[in-house]
Amino acid sequence: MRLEELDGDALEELLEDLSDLRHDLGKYITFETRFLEPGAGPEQRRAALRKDLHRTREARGEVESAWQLWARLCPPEVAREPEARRISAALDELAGLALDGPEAVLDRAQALCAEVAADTRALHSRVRALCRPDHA
Amino acid sequence: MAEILVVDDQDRTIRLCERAMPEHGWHGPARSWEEARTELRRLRRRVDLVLLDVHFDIADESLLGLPEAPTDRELRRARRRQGLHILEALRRGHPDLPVVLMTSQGVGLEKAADRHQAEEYTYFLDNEELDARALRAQVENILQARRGTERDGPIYWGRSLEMRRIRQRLATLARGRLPVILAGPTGTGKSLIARHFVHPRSGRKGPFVAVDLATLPRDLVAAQLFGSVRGAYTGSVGDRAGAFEAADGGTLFLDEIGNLGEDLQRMLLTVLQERAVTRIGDTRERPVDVKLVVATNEDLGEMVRKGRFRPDLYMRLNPAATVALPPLRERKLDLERQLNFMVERVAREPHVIELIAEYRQRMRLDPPASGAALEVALGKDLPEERAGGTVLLFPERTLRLLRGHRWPGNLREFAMTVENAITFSLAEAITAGRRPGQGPGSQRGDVVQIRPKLVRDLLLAVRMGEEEGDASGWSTEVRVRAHEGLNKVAQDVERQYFTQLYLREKGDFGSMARILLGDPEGARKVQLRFNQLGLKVRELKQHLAG
Repeated sequence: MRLEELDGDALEELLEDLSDLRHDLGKYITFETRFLEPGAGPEQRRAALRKDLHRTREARGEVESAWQLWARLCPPEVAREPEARRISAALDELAGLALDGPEAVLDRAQALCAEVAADTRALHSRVRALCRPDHA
Repeated sequence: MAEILVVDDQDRTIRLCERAMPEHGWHGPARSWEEARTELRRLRRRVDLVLLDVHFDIADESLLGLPEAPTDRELRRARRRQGLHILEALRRGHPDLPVVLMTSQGVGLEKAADRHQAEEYTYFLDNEELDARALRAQVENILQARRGTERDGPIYWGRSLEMRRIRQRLATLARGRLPVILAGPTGTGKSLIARHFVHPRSGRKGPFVAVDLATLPRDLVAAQLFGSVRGAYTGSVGDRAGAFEAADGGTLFLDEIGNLGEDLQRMLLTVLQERAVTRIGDTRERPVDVKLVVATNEDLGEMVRKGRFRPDLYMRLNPAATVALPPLRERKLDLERQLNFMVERVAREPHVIELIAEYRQRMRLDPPASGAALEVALGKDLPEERAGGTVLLFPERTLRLLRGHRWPGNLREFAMTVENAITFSLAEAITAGRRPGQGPGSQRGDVVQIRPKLVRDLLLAVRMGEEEGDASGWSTEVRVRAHEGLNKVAQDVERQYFTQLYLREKGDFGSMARILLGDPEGARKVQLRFNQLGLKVRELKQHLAG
């Protein structure tokens, strides 16, 4: 079923799920790297990326990686949406990157994390606009 | 340096903040409203700013804003909006504490955000795009704005709503042409405010001229204010401009206006009406344009009613816009910040700089570092040792004495007490050549304690009338019968005195102990004596309750 075909209640519920996704994955997947000082060295970048990807969300004593969050929080209704496909692809590529590699790998990882963050926001905004057209 | 509380269910924000802004004191993270409230209490209003997250993934029982028997959906919603509930709870006790709400644009909190943003002290930060530089800029802007209204040169306004309003009102009054009346007890900083706040904001290019009407000999006041010509009075050997002419184009500050005699009141009224002054002994009018600021510790309205002040002059002085400065004892919430402010000022005094250098030399410490020479620590919170830095520690008992004192001399007395306490403490520490005092900091050479005994002695040395009770005193009634011993009569008097003191101090035994024993910590002793005299606290409490 396409998103546009969902009824009002289903959309509202979906929006709540996407709010959690946007917050837990979208916000925290770039959290440490955004706070790096300009000119931070590769080791600092590596450490920040590891935290952003492997310890993306820490709450109530539990630690979840970006992949675990995606698996838990991605609502099935959006799995075929272009944003969700891009997020899946980006996370797959991130899983294959060796973060102890050269700086070019770190650049790529940071770019992919930023894409994931942007796509969670875009997905959330699109569903929100469907729920409340006046906020589009 | 500012004290910042982070309210967030995650450790990450505070860790990043500590890294990005190590110059500030970071507290938290408080993971719920309960924890935030505890921290705010512990820090006793020393918090300058709160960083508040919105989404809290915390246990159900810690959530605010839940209906009875919440559904899963309601629980999720409460978690996503928890920061807004915390903000509402926080605002009940801290209406003017700056809070930065860390949320994201477009997550459905716009309406609530608009409502909160309308408040003066709530700021929003889009934390999805946030980086260290943006956070630092936002925090510094808020702190700067807060500091900007908290102090102006040598004036410390503090954070209370009342003092902020006074500052705002004075800034408005400074610009206009109308006179300003500054009312308030002695030592509340009226002259300082006139010189360093009203005058610079008046937009006038002329000078600031101050005349203290309480100290000028009566027969010289007229010439001093209005000027004189040669031969106007015995000893007047030449023409002389008065304060009005000297302040032309600027501000004239007349301190203790209530001391102005009847004839001079009339002359002043004429100058204000005509905007021109005539020197004593002269007939020529000279136009003057002054911003008049007058100060008084008397009630001018009451003086008018008693016929001691001309009503027409009173009306000319713009009484409707009188600014009343509160006594220091009514500004207790700001006392610790005021203390910091005073210490900063005292630390710049050359003799204190010399004493610190001498102390550090005696203790075989590095010479004092410029810019970090003196830091204040309150209670048990000691800052980390810094190269070349000296810490003045005001232990809890010292702070209790300062908080408990009524400060009849207001800021003037406070400033002198602080300066004396610092000077004597450093001098004592130099003479002793060892770490003074006990308790926190006693093992650190860079820490100088301000001992409670020293402060108690300083406070007791200056006891003004107000400390002893009402100016009119209290009367007691004693009925002596033939068979009664003197002891019983004395106890009767004591009972009456205790009762009146209890009522005046509104049942505060600490305050009674300060008056009776010069020591607010002697409350227990006073209470014991209260019981020995057979006085019933419950009955007196009922009396107080009306």
